[in-house]
Amino acid sequence: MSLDLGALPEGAIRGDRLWKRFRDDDRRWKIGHQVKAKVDQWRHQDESYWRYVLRDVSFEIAPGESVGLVGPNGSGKSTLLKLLTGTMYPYAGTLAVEGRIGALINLSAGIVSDLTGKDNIFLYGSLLGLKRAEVAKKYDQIVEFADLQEAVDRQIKFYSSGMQKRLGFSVACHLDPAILLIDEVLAVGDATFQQRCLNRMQQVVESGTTLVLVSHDLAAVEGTCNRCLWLNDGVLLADGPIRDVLGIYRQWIEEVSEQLQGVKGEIEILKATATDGDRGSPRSDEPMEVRLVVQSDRAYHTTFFLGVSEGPATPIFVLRYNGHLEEGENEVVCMMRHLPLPRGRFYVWVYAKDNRNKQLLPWHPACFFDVIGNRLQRAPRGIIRLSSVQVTGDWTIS
Amino acid sequence: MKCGREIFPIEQIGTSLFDMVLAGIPFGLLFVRYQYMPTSTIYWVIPLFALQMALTIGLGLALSTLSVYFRDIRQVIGGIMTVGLFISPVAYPLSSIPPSYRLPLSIVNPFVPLIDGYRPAILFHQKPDLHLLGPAAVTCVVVMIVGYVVFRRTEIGIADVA
Repeated sequence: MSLDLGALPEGAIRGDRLWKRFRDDDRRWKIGHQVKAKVDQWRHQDESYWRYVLRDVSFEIAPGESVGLVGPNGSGKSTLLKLLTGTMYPYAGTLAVEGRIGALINLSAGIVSDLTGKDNIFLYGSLLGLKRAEVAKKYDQIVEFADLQEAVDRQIKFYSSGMQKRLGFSVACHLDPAILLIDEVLAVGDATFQQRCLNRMQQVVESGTTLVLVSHDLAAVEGTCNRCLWLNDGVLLADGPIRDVLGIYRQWIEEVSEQLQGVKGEIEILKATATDGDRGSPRSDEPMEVRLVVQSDRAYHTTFFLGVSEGPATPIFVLRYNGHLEEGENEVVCMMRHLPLPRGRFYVWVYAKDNRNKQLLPWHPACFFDVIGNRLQRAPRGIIRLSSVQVTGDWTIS
Repeated sequence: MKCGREIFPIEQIGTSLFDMVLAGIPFGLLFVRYQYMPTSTIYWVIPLFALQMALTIGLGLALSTLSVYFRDIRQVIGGIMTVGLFISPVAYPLSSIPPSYRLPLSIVNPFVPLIDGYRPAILFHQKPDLHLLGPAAVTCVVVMIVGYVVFRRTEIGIADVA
């Protein structure tokens, strides 16, 4: 697979103009249909059923880099990872991956459910090309990390899905891979195990392993990686330092959600603004005023929910208010006394229901605002900060 | 050092070989019981076995990937095996096939001289019919090469369709 364009150091990945296409063909099992397809292909006629999932993707990853791979569903992230593991081959372009790969792409990949946990550890090791003795050396560490001391002699089919995932992760990252590929794995484990995984990934990266992490959990990506690739519809849209790429990615998510705007429930928001109370931009730790002009066809007893988010539908914090809406135009004003947000762009999301719990407005973004203030203070590497709330404190050490 | 995917069809052959070894134990006991020992012609088993492996590996490699693309193959194989059993001299001697048919049949189905080679070599202290085995050996080698090429070329797309 590795078509060399010059020797790569161990742990390096180079993809050059990668293309991948799939055929959506429900009759592909029929030999006659295949023959016809081949003939069409030979005559360069029927290209219609090819779906391109990676288009001209080029990138280079140096040994020891930790790279996050983000993008919406169906953007080609997992396909790209499968190319990296060598499960799939690119349709065009060259890919060079140097060094042993530890991959956690799919729960069941490389795991035989009829074998015990112990057998699977050794099996996986030998699939990676390790000697039995080399795996045996790591065996205790693997079992201990996965917390499976009681279960290693049990068949995998009697494992819970969390146990499987723990075993898979533990094996993948303890067998000294030069490259660690992780696809959306933290979703299954419980909270403590997730944090252990993140810590472990951090250690692995610090020991010089290349990490490629696919996740929709942007906070986890931000906490673990220092570089980010953004794939959208098979095209590599951005490649750069994690904060820059995630910044524009979050903004893009917001633009996509903005298409929801103007969603009309029973009531409608005509205008929404978020200011410092005097038409200026809000500042960190200063008051902020959100002003909504609401059009209603009749009078309601309403409960308003107002959330502030970094773009996605998951708010950093939510405010709630019970009030009475008159028929016609109403002005709803919410004054926040201290805005606990750092510098950056944030979005106001709104939801409303009446006193019988009927939804009047779906949860949707109403407007955005830019906060003036200090940069967000970063958490230590490997620690996920769930939301970017900034609270200033006065410290003393005595 | 990555493990190639060839290992999976070949592993299946290995499983069957282990079966064969187990089946060979009572066979060997029969020799002891009847005080009837094979002579030096038994060494013909080695080239026969090598050719058989070449043929089996070639077929196994090709069919394994093709059956991913065309699922029907898996269902059809059982039937083909039954037909193959009857067009090979398993339950009847080669001598019951008209002499003029033997060579073409051996080329098309190399199992004919292979099976009919084991029998004289082990039981009757004779060497196999080289006039049939020679052309069949060519077929075996060709099947192995073609099978490997088919495997290599179709293996690329397995993950795309499976």
